[in-house]
Amino acid sequence: MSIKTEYALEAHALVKNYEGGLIPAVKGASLRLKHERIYALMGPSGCGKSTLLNLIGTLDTAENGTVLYEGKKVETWRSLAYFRREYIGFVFQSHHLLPVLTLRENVETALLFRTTLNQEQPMQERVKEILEEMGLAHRMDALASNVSGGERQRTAIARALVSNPRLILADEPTGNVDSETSERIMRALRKRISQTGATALIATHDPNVSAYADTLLLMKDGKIEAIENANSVF
Amino acid sequence: MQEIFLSGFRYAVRNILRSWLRATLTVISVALAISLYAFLTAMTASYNQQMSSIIRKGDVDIIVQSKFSASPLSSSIRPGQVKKIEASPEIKSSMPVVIGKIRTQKENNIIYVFGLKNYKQIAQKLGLTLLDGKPYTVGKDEILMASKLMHILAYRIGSRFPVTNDLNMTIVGAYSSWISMLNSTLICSAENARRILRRTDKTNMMFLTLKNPTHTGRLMKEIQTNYPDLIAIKSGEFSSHIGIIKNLAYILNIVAWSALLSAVAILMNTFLVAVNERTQEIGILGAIGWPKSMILSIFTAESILLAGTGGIIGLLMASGILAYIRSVYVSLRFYLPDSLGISIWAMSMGMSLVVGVAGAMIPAMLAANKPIAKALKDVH
Repeated sequence: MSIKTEYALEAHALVKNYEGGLIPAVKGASLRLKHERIYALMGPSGCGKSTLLNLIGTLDTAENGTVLYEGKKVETWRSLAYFRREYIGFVFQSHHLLPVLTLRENVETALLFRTTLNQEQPMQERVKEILEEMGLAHRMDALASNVSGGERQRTAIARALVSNPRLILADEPTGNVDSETSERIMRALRKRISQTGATALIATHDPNVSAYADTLLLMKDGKIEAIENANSVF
Repeated sequence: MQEIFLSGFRYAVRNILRSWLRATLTVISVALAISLYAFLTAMTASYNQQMSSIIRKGDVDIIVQSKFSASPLSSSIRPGQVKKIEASPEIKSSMPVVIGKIRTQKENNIIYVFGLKNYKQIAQKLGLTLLDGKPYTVGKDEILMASKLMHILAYRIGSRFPVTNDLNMTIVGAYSSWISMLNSTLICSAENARRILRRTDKTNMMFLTLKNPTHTGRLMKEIQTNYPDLIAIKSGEFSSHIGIIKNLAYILNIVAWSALLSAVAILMNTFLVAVNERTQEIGILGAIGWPKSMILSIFTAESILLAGTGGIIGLLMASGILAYIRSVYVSLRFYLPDSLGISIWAMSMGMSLVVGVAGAMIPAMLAANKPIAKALKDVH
């Protein structure tokens, strides 16, 4: 995978309001994310972290501002759906799995439309590999509705990583799991990023998670207030 | 491509099974609608086909009746017109028919009276089967009575039946017919029918057989030019010209289409609820980059599966109902086909699929167009 630009992602002056402008969520947030790094987005509840992730991940549209992915505006991609499946891996606070599908099938949903990737390595093989990596080899054929919260969240991480995304956006990925699972998830994330050269932006309150980050982005009142090297904090 | 199809199909099937009770009720509703549609469509088609085929078998080329009559009952051809038409050198044979209605003196029930010049000659054309007794003799006060009517009125062959306050006639035979009207009817000679109806100059219809059937068009044109108040109908097109049958066909069609629309509404309701319940899942699929078309296809596939299953069950139900009615209500056999037939199966299954697509379209589009960030926050 060739890296063409200095930054994996650049966001400039992003603005998002809700309720017809009555509730400002993001007020001119700007950030730059380098390749092969983990960024922890921290800040108090309601400061706009999730909204910022949604804007960056094209799950929501900004009223103002621009987002560049490897130097290119998102509008230049074939479609937003194409961009999301080709470029981004999402991890949500709540696992957001499809309850009627097995863990294996849930992970496969992220690969179904990745024809080129599936030609490189068969989909089933790739899915099995990542589920093993997440310690879920024995639960692959269990329905998502029948497994524990930790197993669901690990499956959600597997789904986000299986397609080797260039950018991983995670919103409180360890918010609903115990510390052991949290460690496991972060270790897997770190390993994957070093293997694939991806970039991760993780919104979190958890210092254990931010300990895995290279850089901390501190958000307050809808803006990035400070950027700190993680080593200087922890 | 195959993997995408299989995964989509698997997901659709499991979603159906997830709400199995709702799915079952939806399938039952669609099945009822499709069975009604198939049954009524088969009945209408059969009715028209039987009528056309009997008229074809009866070797009738032209049927003449009043131009603006809604049914043969209200049609009237004057005696002079009957004579002149019969005098045409093109005509091989003519069968004037007198039709009217009377009321029974005891129960005040309506009974239709058919006056035929020659019973034997026209029986086949009207689908009449003499079940008991003998045909009436022209010149005598004799009548044939529909066996069903005879049973209801508790008369027997040989009984004297009061056709008017001051006139009794002898029932000499009992018959059955595939035309419902004829199953509550008396049949007698044209002269007796005029006496019973007190309309000495009345002829309702004429069945004409031509010497040369290729001249049908020419004679039809001639009749309509000479007698503007009459209409000459090609025998094959007769059923579509009889107002009452035409209206019946309209009603049956309206009922059949209403049934289909109900099925669409039921499916749409089911899927609007499903879309509402699965908003978060729709958001997930959108977030991981599934194309809108695929999300739309999932809901459409679920709807088609339900509608298709309902369609098959509905057709089996319609076949069962048909077989049951044919075995229990013998007099209705004349209306009904022996079986639904391939064309009805194909058409009804096609309609099931159309119902499936139509029922899912709006909910599926709503699902596919939900803003992802908003959908992901939705909790049920």
